[in-house]
Amino acid sequence: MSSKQKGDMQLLIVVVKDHHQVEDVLTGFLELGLRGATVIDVRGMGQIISSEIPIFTGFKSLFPGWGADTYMIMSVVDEQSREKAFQLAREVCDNFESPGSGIMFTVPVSHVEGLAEEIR
Amino acid sequence: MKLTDYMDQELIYADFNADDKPGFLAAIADLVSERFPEVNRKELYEKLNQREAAGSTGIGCGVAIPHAMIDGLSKTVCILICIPRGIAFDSIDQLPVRLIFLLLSPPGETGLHIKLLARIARLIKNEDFINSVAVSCDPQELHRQIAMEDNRHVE
Repeated sequence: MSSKQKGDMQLLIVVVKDHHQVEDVLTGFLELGLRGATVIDVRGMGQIISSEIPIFTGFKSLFPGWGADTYMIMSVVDEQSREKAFQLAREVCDNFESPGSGIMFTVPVSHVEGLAEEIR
Repeated sequence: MKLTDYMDQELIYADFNADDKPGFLAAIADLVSERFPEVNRKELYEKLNQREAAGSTGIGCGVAIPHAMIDGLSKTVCILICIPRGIAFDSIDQLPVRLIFLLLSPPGETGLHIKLLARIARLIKNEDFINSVAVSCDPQELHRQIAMEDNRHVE
Protein backbone atom coordinates (compact mmCIF):
# COMPACT_ATOMS: atom_id res chain seq x y z
CA MET A 1 0.00 0.00 0.00
CA SER A 2 3.01 2.35 0.35
CA SER A 3 1.90 5.57 2.06
CA LYS A 4 -1.78 5.44 1.11
CA GLN A 5 -4.30 5.23 3.91
CA LYS A 6 -6.95 2.60 3.56
CA GLY A 7 -9.88 3.44 5.78
CA ASP A 8 -9.54 3.01 9.51
CA MET A 9 -6.32 1.18 10.18
CA GLN A 10 -5.76 -0.58 13.48
CA LEU A 11 -2.77 -2.21 15.06
CA LEU A 12 -3.97 -5.62 16.12
CA ILE A 13 -2.02 -7.14 18.98
CA VAL A 14 -2.53 -10.74 19.99
CA VAL A 15 -0.56 -12.10 22.91
CA VAL A 16 -0.49 -15.88 23.12
CA LYS A 17 1.22 -18.44 25.30
CA ASP A 18 1.91 -21.25 22.92
CA HIS A 19 4.04 -21.41 19.80
CA HIS A 20 1.44 -23.59 18.09
CA GLN A 21 -1.04 -20.77 18.55
CA VAL A 22 1.40 -18.42 16.82
CA GLU A 23 1.56 -20.82 13.88
CA ASP A 24 -2.21 -21.12 13.81
CA VAL A 25 -2.76 -17.37 13.92
CA LEU A 26 -0.20 -16.72 11.16
CA THR A 27 -1.61 -19.50 9.00
CA GLY A 28 -5.05 -18.04 9.54
CA PHE A 29 -3.75 -14.59 8.60
CA LEU A 30 -2.54 -16.03 5.30
CA GLU A 31 -5.95 -17.51 4.71
CA LEU A 32 -7.49 -14.10 5.33
CA GLY A 33 -5.07 -12.61 2.84
CA LEU A 34 -2.93 -10.84 5.43
CA ARG A 35 0.75 -11.22 4.74
CA GLY A 36 2.28 -8.82 7.19
CA ALA A 37 2.75 -9.51 10.87
CA THR A 38 5.53 -9.21 13.37
CA VAL A 39 6.04 -11.74 16.13
CA ILE A 40 8.09 -10.96 19.20
CA ASP A 41 9.11 -13.23 22.04
CA VAL A 42 8.07 -11.35 25.12
CA ARG A 43 7.73 -11.94 28.83
CA GLY A 44 4.63 -11.27 30.82
CA MET A 45 4.39 -9.53 34.15
CA GLY A 46 3.79 -12.83 35.90
CA GLN A 47 6.87 -14.40 34.38
CA ILE A 48 9.13 -11.62 35.61
CA ILE A 49 7.54 -11.06 38.99
CA SER A 50 7.40 -14.71 39.90
CA SER A 51 10.85 -15.63 38.71
CA GLU A 52 13.01 -12.55 39.18
CA ILE A 53 11.65 -10.79 42.20
CA PRO A 54 12.19 -13.27 45.03
CA ILE A 55 9.71 -11.80 47.42
CA PHE A 56 6.87 -12.66 45.04
CA THR A 57 7.97 -16.21 44.28
CA GLY A 58 5.22 -17.60 46.47
CA PHE A 59 2.53 -15.78 44.53
CA LYS A 60 2.94 -17.49 41.19
CA SER A 61 -0.64 -18.67 41.26
CA LEU A 62 -1.79 -15.06 41.04
CA PHE A 63 -0.41 -14.95 37.52
CA PRO A 64 -2.04 -17.60 35.33
CA GLY A 65 0.27 -18.60 32.52
CA TRP A 66 3.31 -17.27 34.34
CA GLY A 67 5.52 -20.19 33.29
CA ALA A 68 4.70 -20.25 29.61
CA ASP A 69 6.57 -18.69 26.73
CA THR A 70 4.78 -15.62 25.54
CA TYR A 71 4.53 -14.29 22.02
CA MET A 72 3.18 -11.00 20.78
CA ILE A 73 1.78 -10.96 17.27
CA MET A 74 1.29 -7.54 15.74
CA SER A 75 -0.34 -6.69 12.47
CA VAL A 76 -1.74 -3.52 10.95
CA VAL A 77 -5.17 -4.37 9.60
CA ASP A 78 -7.93 -2.42 7.92
CA GLU A 79 -11.50 -2.28 9.07
CA GLN A 80 -12.58 -5.08 6.77
CA SER A 81 -9.91 -7.50 7.97
CA ARG A 82 -10.14 -6.57 11.62
CA GLU A 83 -13.28 -8.49 12.51
CA LYS A 84 -12.10 -11.54 10.63
CA ALA A 85 -8.75 -11.39 12.40
CA PHE A 86 -10.59 -11.09 15.73
CA GLN A 87 -12.68 -14.16 14.94
CA LEU A 88 -9.63 -16.08 13.88
CA ALA A 89 -7.69 -15.25 17.05
CA ARG A 90 -10.71 -16.15 19.20
CA GLU A 91 -10.98 -19.45 17.41
CA VAL A 92 -7.30 -20.24 17.91
CA CYS A 93 -7.22 -19.08 21.53
CA ASP A 94 -10.49 -20.62 22.73
CA ASN A 95 -12.11 -17.20 23.00
CA PHE A 96 -9.43 -16.13 25.49
CA GLU A 97 -11.62 -17.59 28.19
CA SER A 98 -8.93 -19.21 30.30
CA PRO A 99 -7.18 -16.76 32.63
CA GLY A 100 -3.65 -16.14 31.47
CA SER A 101 -4.23 -17.78 28.08
CA GLY A 102 -3.63 -14.58 26.18
CA ILE A 103 -5.09 -11.25 25.29
CA MET A 104 -6.12 -9.41 22.17
CA PHE A 105 -6.66 -5.74 21.53
CA THR A 106 -6.34 -3.06 18.88
CA VAL A 107 -5.12 0.49 18.86
CA PRO A 108 -5.87 3.05 16.18
CA VAL A 109 -3.13 3.79 13.68
CA SER A 110 -3.01 7.31 12.30
CA HIS A 111 -0.44 6.75 9.58
CA VAL A 112 1.05 3.75 7.82
CA GLU A 113 3.80 3.33 5.27
CA GLY A 114 5.28 0.19 3.83
CA LEU A 115 2.28 -2.04 4.40
CA ALA A 116 2.18 -5.02 2.04
CA GLU A 117 -0.84 -5.49 -0.17
CA GLU A 118 -3.19 -8.21 0.97
CA ILE A 119 -3.06 -11.51 -0.86
CA ARG A 120 -5.83 -11.61 -3.45
CA MET B 1 -13.59 -19.11 0.85
CA LYS B 2 -14.14 -22.80 1.46
CA LEU B 3 -12.00 -25.73 0.48
CA THR B 4 -15.07 -27.54 -0.79
CA ASP B 5 -15.52 -24.80 -3.40
CA TYR B 6 -12.42 -26.26 -5.07
CA MET B 7 -12.93 -29.92 -4.23
CA ASP B 8 -15.80 -31.61 -6.00
CA GLN B 9 -16.89 -34.96 -4.70
CA GLU B 10 -15.59 -36.59 -7.85
CA LEU B 11 -12.14 -35.27 -6.99
CA ILE B 12 -12.03 -37.45 -3.88
CA TYR B 13 -10.28 -40.76 -4.28
CA ALA B 14 -11.07 -42.70 -1.15
CA ASP B 15 -9.11 -45.88 -1.74
CA PHE B 16 -6.05 -45.03 -3.78
CA ASN B 17 -3.31 -47.55 -4.39
CA ALA B 18 0.36 -46.61 -4.21
CA ASP B 19 3.32 -48.39 -2.70
CA ASP B 20 5.57 -45.44 -2.04
CA LYS B 21 6.05 -41.75 -2.69
CA PRO B 22 7.60 -42.02 -6.19
CA GLY B 23 4.87 -44.43 -7.18
CA PHE B 24 2.23 -42.12 -5.82
CA LEU B 25 3.59 -39.07 -7.67
CA ALA B 26 3.70 -40.99 -10.94
CA ALA B 27 0.19 -42.37 -10.44
CA ILE B 28 -1.29 -39.04 -9.50
CA ALA B 29 0.35 -37.35 -12.51
CA ASP B 30 -1.34 -39.97 -14.70
CA LEU B 31 -4.68 -39.51 -13.01
CA VAL B 32 -4.68 -35.71 -13.12
CA SER B 33 -3.58 -35.48 -16.75
CA GLU B 34 -6.39 -37.86 -17.67
CA ARG B 35 -8.97 -35.98 -15.60
CA PHE B 36 -7.73 -32.58 -16.80
CA PRO B 37 -6.51 -32.99 -20.40
CA GLU B 38 -5.16 -29.43 -20.42
CA VAL B 39 -2.51 -30.50 -17.88
CA ASN B 40 0.78 -31.69 -19.30
CA ARG B 41 1.59 -34.89 -17.45
CA LYS B 42 5.36 -34.43 -17.68
CA GLU B 43 5.23 -30.87 -16.35
CA LEU B 44 3.02 -31.88 -13.45
CA TYR B 45 5.19 -34.85 -12.55
CA GLU B 46 8.35 -32.74 -12.66
CA LYS B 47 6.89 -29.91 -10.62
CA LEU B 48 5.57 -32.23 -7.94
CA ASN B 49 8.95 -33.92 -7.72
CA GLN B 50 10.78 -30.59 -7.63
CA ARG B 51 8.61 -29.45 -4.77
CA GLU B 52 9.22 -32.65 -2.85
CA ALA B 53 12.95 -32.31 -3.49
CA ALA B 54 12.86 -28.85 -1.94
CA GLY B 55 11.31 -30.32 1.20
CA SER B 56 8.69 -32.95 1.77
CA THR B 57 5.10 -31.77 1.80
CA GLY B 58 4.39 -34.50 4.32
CA ILE B 59 3.57 -32.19 7.18
CA GLY B 60 3.01 -34.82 9.82
CA CYS B 61 0.08 -36.63 11.42
CA GLY B 62 -0.38 -38.73 8.28
CA VAL B 63 -1.06 -35.80 5.98
CA ALA B 64 0.73 -34.48 2.90
CA ILE B 65 -0.08 -31.46 0.76
CA PRO B 66 1.79 -31.74 -2.54
CA HIS B 67 1.07 -28.71 -4.67
CA ALA B 68 2.10 -26.95 -7.85
CA MET B 69 1.25 -24.13 -10.21
CA ILE B 70 0.49 -25.68 -13.57
CA ASP B 71 0.36 -23.99 -16.98
CA GLY B 72 -2.84 -24.53 -18.87
CA LEU B 73 -4.93 -25.57 -15.90
CA SER B 74 -8.22 -23.73 -16.22
CA LYS B 75 -8.99 -23.38 -12.51
CA THR B 76 -7.63 -24.13 -9.07
CA VAL B 77 -8.49 -27.62 -7.89
CA CYS B 78 -7.93 -29.62 -4.76
CA ILE B 79 -7.89 -33.37 -5.05
CA LEU B 80 -8.19 -35.51 -1.94
CA ILE B 81 -6.57 -38.91 -1.94
CA CYS B 82 -6.89 -41.46 0.84
CA ILE B 83 -4.40 -44.28 1.10
CA PRO B 84 -5.84 -46.22 4.03
CA ARG B 85 -2.76 -48.35 4.64
CA GLY B 86 -0.43 -45.35 4.39
CA ILE B 87 2.80 -44.80 2.46
CA ALA B 88 6.21 -43.44 3.40
CA PHE B 89 6.41 -39.78 2.34
CA ASP B 90 9.53 -38.46 4.07
CA SER B 91 7.17 -36.68 6.43
CA ILE B 92 8.54 -34.45 9.14
CA ASP B 93 7.37 -36.92 11.79
CA GLN B 94 8.33 -39.94 9.66
CA LEU B 95 4.81 -41.36 10.00
CA PRO B 96 3.15 -42.93 6.97
CA VAL B 97 0.86 -40.65 5.01
CA ARG B 98 -2.76 -41.69 4.66
CA LEU B 99 -4.38 -38.48 3.57
CA ILE B 100 -3.11 -36.37 0.67
CA PHE B 101 -4.47 -33.01 -0.42
CA LEU B 102 -3.14 -32.31 -3.91
CA LEU B 103 -3.53 -28.62 -4.68
CA LEU B 104 -3.04 -27.39 -8.24
CA SER B 105 -3.48 -23.86 -9.50
CA PRO B 106 -2.95 -22.06 -12.78
CA PRO B 107 -0.22 -19.40 -12.84
CA GLY B 108 -1.70 -16.11 -11.71
CA GLU B 109 -3.68 -17.71 -8.91
CA THR B 110 -0.87 -17.54 -6.37
CA GLY B 111 -2.96 -15.69 -3.82
CA LEU B 112 -5.75 -18.22 -3.90
CA HIS B 113 -3.20 -21.04 -3.85
CA ILE B 114 -1.59 -19.69 -0.68
CA LYS B 115 -4.95 -19.12 0.97
CA LEU B 116 -6.04 -22.67 0.20
CA LEU B 117 -2.78 -24.07 1.54
CA ALA B 118 -3.46 -22.13 4.71
CA ARG B 119 -7.02 -23.42 4.82
CA ILE B 120 -5.85 -27.02 4.49
CA ALA B 121 -3.15 -26.49 7.11
CA ARG B 122 -5.81 -25.24 9.51
CA LEU B 123 -8.29 -27.97 8.66
CA ILE B 124 -5.87 -30.71 9.52
CA LYS B 125 -5.12 -29.33 12.95
CA ASN B 126 -8.18 -31.21 14.12
CA GLU B 127 -6.92 -34.70 14.94
CA ASP B 128 -10.41 -36.18 15.27
CA PHE B 129 -11.17 -34.94 11.79
CA ILE B 130 -7.97 -36.44 10.41
CA ASN B 131 -8.52 -39.79 12.09
CA SER B 132 -12.09 -40.11 10.91
CA VAL B 133 -11.37 -38.91 7.40
CA ALA B 134 -8.33 -41.11 6.90
CA VAL B 135 -10.25 -44.32 7.52
CA SER B 136 -13.36 -43.41 5.57
CA CYS B 137 -13.67 -44.93 2.12
CA ASP B 138 -16.76 -43.11 1.01
CA PRO B 139 -16.18 -39.97 -1.09
CA GLN B 140 -19.61 -38.60 -0.19
CA GLU B 141 -18.91 -39.00 3.50
CA LEU B 142 -15.43 -37.51 3.12
CA HIS B 143 -16.86 -34.51 1.29
CA ARG B 144 -19.50 -34.07 4.00
CA GLN B 145 -16.91 -34.17 6.76
CA ILE B 146 -14.66 -31.68 5.02
CA ALA B 147 -17.59 -29.36 4.39
CA MET B 148 -18.54 -29.61 8.06
CA GLU B 149 -15.01 -28.85 9.19
CA ASP B 150 -14.78 -26.07 6.60
CA ASN B 151 -17.81 -24.41 8.15
CA ARG B 152 -16.22 -24.29 11.58
CA HIS B 153 -13.52 -21.90 10.47
CA VAL B 154 -13.51 -18.20 9.85
CA GLU B 155 -13.98 -17.28 6.21
